[in-house]
Amino acid sequence: MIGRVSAAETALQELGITEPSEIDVEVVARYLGAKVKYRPLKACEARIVGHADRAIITVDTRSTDRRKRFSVAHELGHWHYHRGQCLICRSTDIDKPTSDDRRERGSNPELQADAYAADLLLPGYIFRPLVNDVDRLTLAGVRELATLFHASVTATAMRALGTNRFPALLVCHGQDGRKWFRRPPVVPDRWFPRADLQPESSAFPMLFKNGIEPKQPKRIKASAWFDTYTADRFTLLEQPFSLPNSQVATLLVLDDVAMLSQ
Amino acid sequence: MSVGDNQSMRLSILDDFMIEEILAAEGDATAADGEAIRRDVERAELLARKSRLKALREEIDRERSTSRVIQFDSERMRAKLKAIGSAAVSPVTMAARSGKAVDDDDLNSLLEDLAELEQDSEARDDE
Repeated sequence: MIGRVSAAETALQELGITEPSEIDVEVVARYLGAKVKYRPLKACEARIVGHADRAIITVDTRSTDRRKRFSVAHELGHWHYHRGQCLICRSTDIDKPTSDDRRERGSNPELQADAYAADLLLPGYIFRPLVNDVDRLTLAGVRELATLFHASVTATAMRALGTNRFPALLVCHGQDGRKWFRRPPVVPDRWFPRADLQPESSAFPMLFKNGIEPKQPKRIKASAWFDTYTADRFTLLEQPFSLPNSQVATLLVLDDVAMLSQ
Repeated sequence: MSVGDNQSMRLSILDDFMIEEILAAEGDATAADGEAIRRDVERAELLARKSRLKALREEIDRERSTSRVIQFDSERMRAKLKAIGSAAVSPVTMAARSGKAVDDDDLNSLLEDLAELEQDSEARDDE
């Protein structure tokens, strides 16, 4: 399937970028008229100030390299979508879930900038061919891809699910319940994850007892994750990983094809 | 029709057949040549784009190796920033990720960035 080429991907293609290692966000920024500077920032992680067709992106020196990269890509998203606007993106806006757990990028400038960043750091035209060689989605595989693209595990997992090739979900929980989840169309809507983590899940001790990340996926009853009445007939593979802000994301792989019948 | 006519007709048919074969082969060769040219053009275009990528990286590294001090009138830039905030339409873009209450150091560096953009814009206008 040939996907639509996004604005971020167009910029990468115009610079002849064909490999993950060539995605140099500073160079892309310069190509798009923005200089990147690093200095200590107290009030924000990164910002962009632009005048007409030139801009300066400033990133906090204390961020990790991966975070700095994301921040530059995110600010370029504002540069593309919100030129001539004055915006302040607060952390409270970033993970704000909507009523049905879907992140509505249409009206939220923060999510628009995030989507641009995802396209820049994990461009579909480079990512898809690599994922096409993968038979089954595993956390280890996602980690390998994340390292290759110098992107976060969460963003990479979401990108992989976005290809709709893998019958899997990514579910994020905080101590007060489910924060968000990502479910590709290949997974039927009836598999709607529970709001609360169940004690039998290996994500539970990680979230509530400072447990360590399991190295391997664990087989578990689907009813631990879904309260649909047929869930107790099936099992699935789960593998959680830690996120910042005391949250845990879990990759759920629905490897029983009977779960996928509509 | 004589034997000679028959032979002549057979030769003519054979001739037509050979001509068609030759034309078809030439057509394949032309298509193959076209494909090769297209690939060469694409490869050359890709190399030109990659050299642009490399040149921009070198430009950034060169700039980083030299220090630039931005002199600016802090009060004037502060007034400009204030005006931007209250303007309905402005050529200025501004966004901050995970923004909290404004810090003095951050504000000063923001004013410096604004001044740098202004100076660069004036320099471009002078060229």
